[in-house]
Amino acid sequence: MFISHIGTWFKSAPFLVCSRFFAAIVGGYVFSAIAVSLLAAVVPLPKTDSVLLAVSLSILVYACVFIWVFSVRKLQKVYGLLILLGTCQAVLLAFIKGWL
Amino acid sequence: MKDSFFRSMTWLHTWTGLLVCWLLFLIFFAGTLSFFRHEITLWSQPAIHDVAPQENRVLSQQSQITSALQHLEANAADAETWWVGLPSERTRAIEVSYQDKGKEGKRGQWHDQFMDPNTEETLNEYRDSKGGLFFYRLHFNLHYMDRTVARWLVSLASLFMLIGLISGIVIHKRIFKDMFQFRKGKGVRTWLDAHNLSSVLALPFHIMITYTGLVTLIFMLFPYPAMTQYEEGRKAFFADLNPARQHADITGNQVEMLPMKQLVDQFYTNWPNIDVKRVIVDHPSDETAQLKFYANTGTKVQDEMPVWIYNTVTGELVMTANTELSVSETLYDGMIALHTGRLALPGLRWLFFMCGIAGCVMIGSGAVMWAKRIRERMKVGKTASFGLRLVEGLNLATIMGLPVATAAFFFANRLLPDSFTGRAEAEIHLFFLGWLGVALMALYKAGTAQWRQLAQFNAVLWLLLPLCNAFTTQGNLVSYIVKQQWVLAGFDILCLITAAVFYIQSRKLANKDAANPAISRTLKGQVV
Repeated sequence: MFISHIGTWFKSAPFLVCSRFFAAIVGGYVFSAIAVSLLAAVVPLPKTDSVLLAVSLSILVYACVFIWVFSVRKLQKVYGLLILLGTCQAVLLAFIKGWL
Repeated sequence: MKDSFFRSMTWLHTWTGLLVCWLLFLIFFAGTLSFFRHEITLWSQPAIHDVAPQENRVLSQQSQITSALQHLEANAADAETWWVGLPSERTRAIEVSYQDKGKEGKRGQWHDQFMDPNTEETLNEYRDSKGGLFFYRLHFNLHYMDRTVARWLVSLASLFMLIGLISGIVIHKRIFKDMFQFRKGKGVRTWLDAHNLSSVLALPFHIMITYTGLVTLIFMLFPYPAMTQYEEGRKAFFADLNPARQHADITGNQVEMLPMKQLVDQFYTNWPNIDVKRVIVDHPSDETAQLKFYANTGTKVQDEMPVWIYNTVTGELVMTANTELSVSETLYDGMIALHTGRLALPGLRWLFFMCGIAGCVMIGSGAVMWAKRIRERMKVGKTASFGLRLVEGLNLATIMGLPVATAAFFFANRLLPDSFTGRAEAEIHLFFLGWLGVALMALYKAGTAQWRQLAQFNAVLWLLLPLCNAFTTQGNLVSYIVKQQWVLAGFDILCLITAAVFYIQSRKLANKDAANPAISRTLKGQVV
């Protein structure tokens, strides 16, 4: 009884909406943060220039991810791809920076 | 698939918009006024109204800087910082300021004064007022709250704005057609047309200003590239980017500085043709003292000013910075410069201002449209939900309240006595008190009658403002035009235009009431 209650709650519209906003705002933010940090690490420019270029593009990345989160029908796919791609980029960044 | 994408974007547009529209309206409103912040500051300082513009602005700077620094040498020997702002295309008097030494971790108090650029004598009546700076700060720091929290809120609202713009374009089927379409007197349709028109006409501006606005706060929002590229973190990045920004803490060891005149002359021997914007002395008479000359970037796409730093004891040039920008720096600086409109000549500045107003219309009409739509769909005789009434109240409070608050701020500037302690703060309190008054009224009732009354009230306030100005200062609209003081004349004319717009609005709302007595009765009786 209790379990099925939680089950329906997870499928309720308010929860799905909040979850999607969470994915867009927080998930999108973390994803963009990793992506632009990686960008700064890979562009062949002096350090200050690569940082400025990366931050100048960060909002563009964030906005695109945000819109994408709302355009995909399945929420699982959103979370899955965000986590998968985010992790890949983070690992790559850690590898380039020699943290591993 | 395409249909569902379209629907999800419509949904996203509506809800991200509604969630932040009132905060966004405030940000846009304050930002739009900030394009004229120096002009507003000029208006709020009657002492410099009659300062004549200079003929050879750049040529007289050497002697102006010397006089200003000598004045500070004589009057503020124990200050933490000396600050001299030179007249530019938009500011008229020399601003001579100094900051007391900070005590117990608190920053020292600033003392401001004006100097006549022609006679180089200090003007005594400095009015304690923030002027245009208030709107500039309000635009991203809000007020009565922690700066960092405020900036995150403003950033979130801006992000939602950007999302609203992108999703708005997606859900827009006929972007070109809407540019020429305005269906008058058709209820929600008309509001939709107003929303589309104000969005589409100024669309490049809206996208540019929202994006670059977020970029101005980017090192707070996305410090990560700097943090990962520099092991010592953000500070190391800034030190690398702009070495001129760093300066040592005060040590307290007194030294004998060279006379200011000698240092200024030395700068001019080497760099005779620089248009100087400001001169700063950090820690005068301390062993860490530095003299800094900042050049005016004028219409260049550059935000960080080129700077020359001198050691005040030896007179040696310690550093020059920002004279050449790399491509990335140009990209970043260009975005900031676009946002602040610092490079804009009057024509472009007015275009920015108009686009800012279009932004306010876009946000306001979007918010009003939401409420109208819900009300239209409501069954007759049903009472409005709490949510709908809240939205209607907030719409009225924001859209009609901010002009009232702004008028209150300007009246306070003219009517508060100069001797009033905490005058600048009192002006700001009156701004928010004016707003609070309207908000209380709006949250109590927000029907057509209230819109009309506030439109009338606004019309009266803005009509009285030039009159109040004429009675409390030496000048008035006629004298401004005769003396060709276009900034002051422009201010008065804008007040009168604002009053006229509010008057027309009140007439329209009155007609609506008269044409539809039955509806207005139900509005008054039941739903509102």
